[in-house]
Amino acid sequence: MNIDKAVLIWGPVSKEGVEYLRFQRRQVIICENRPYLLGLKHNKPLIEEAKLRFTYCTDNTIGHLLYKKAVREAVLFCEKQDGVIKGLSGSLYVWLLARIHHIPVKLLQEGEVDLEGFLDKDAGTLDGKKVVKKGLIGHPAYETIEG
Amino acid sequence: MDYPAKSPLLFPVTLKNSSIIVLDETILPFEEEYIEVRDLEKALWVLKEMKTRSLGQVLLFFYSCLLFAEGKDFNLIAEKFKKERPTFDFITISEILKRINNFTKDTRKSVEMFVAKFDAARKQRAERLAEMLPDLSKILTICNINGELIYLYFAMKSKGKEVSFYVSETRPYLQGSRLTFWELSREDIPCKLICDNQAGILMKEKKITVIVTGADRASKRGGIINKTGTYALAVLAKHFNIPFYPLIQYPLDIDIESVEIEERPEEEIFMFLEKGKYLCPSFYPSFDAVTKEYITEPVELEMSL
Repeated sequence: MNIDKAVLIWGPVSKEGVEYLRFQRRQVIICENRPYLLGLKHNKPLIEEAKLRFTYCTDNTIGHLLYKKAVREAVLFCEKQDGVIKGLSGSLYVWLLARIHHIPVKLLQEGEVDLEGFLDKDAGTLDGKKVVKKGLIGHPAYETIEG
Repeated sequence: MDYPAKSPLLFPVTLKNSSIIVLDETILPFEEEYIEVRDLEKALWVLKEMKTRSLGQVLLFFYSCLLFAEGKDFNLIAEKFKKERPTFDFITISEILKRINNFTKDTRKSVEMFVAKFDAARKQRAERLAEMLPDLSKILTICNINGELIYLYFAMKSKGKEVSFYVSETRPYLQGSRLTFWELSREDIPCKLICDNQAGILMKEKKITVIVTGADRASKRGGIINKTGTYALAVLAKHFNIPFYPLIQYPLDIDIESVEIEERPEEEIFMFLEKGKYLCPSFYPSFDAVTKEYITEPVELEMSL
């Protein structure tokens, strides 16, 4: 594993967020951010453009990375209002896993992103292609984490 | 009890004359195709390409020993298999086969005996777990346990207990979406598919009451190795006081943290995407370790050979 003391990001990165990451001078872990593949389609291009060193991984790898102490900080790009944190699907997963592993979580304003433009809205598709034949899918795309 | 379900994943690898027939799990659920294996080289390719996994790789190993082991040197085949999938313990499986062979003196009989006893044992395990779980259980699972959740469903129904499933999609291979969700849906068993990262919010909202997973390796000292993402589920389950039951077999006296975690080629993260379009520095550990403090109770396969 070639990841050490990295900064893990979750949610749509903003331009200010890229500056924050640049200032950290650390390897960035870009998670996939299902269902939208937002990590791949929104965050990765921004991080590449900023020429930051990064490693891409699926969302379910986060636990293993924390267990292996490969993460120094998690940055959650989200909405904060009246003490309530609202973030994209998986925000609570990341927030809790980081806190349970005693990893600080930095909350930053999420970047602007038009989710309507993304091909995938739930677990039933991947990059626009159906991955299941029939059945009930999913859960709302947004999650609330009480502050 | 009688189990009406006939998922092809219950026995994804079978023997037909002098060929091994392997269900290609990488193209399910839209295509149900089988690969014919007639030599060891093809068997190793099937393994490396993850055309089959879990129980399938055990069956592939046994049938390879039956057809391709010269001088019954099962350990040599086990070494070759281990080279392709280093986390799985083929040496122990080889020793089990040798032990049965000491009794039957016939590899074919040994393999047939193993398969029959294995199926009976997993039905019994499903019965035991059904006894342990309460009515109205909402089970979250990850990856695929080769039809055993179907056994569990019917075992619970026979006890008058209602049960429904949440299936974590299990990126990047999507074993949850393509295999588990498919095999449950085709039996009209109540289930919902979720993204791997949605487990936290569902546990918080009490939509999940128990976690049941498989285990690729297990330690007698506690702890398992299973598909990447299992550790996060176990940790979150403990946080929300939700029981976590891994289905284990052949636990060994090993330190679970010393088991080599296989890292798959980085392009596999993009296997259902346009690889060339997205390829970038990536990390894909095939498994993760769950230490004993997160396990409520391992549910062991009780199989006498």
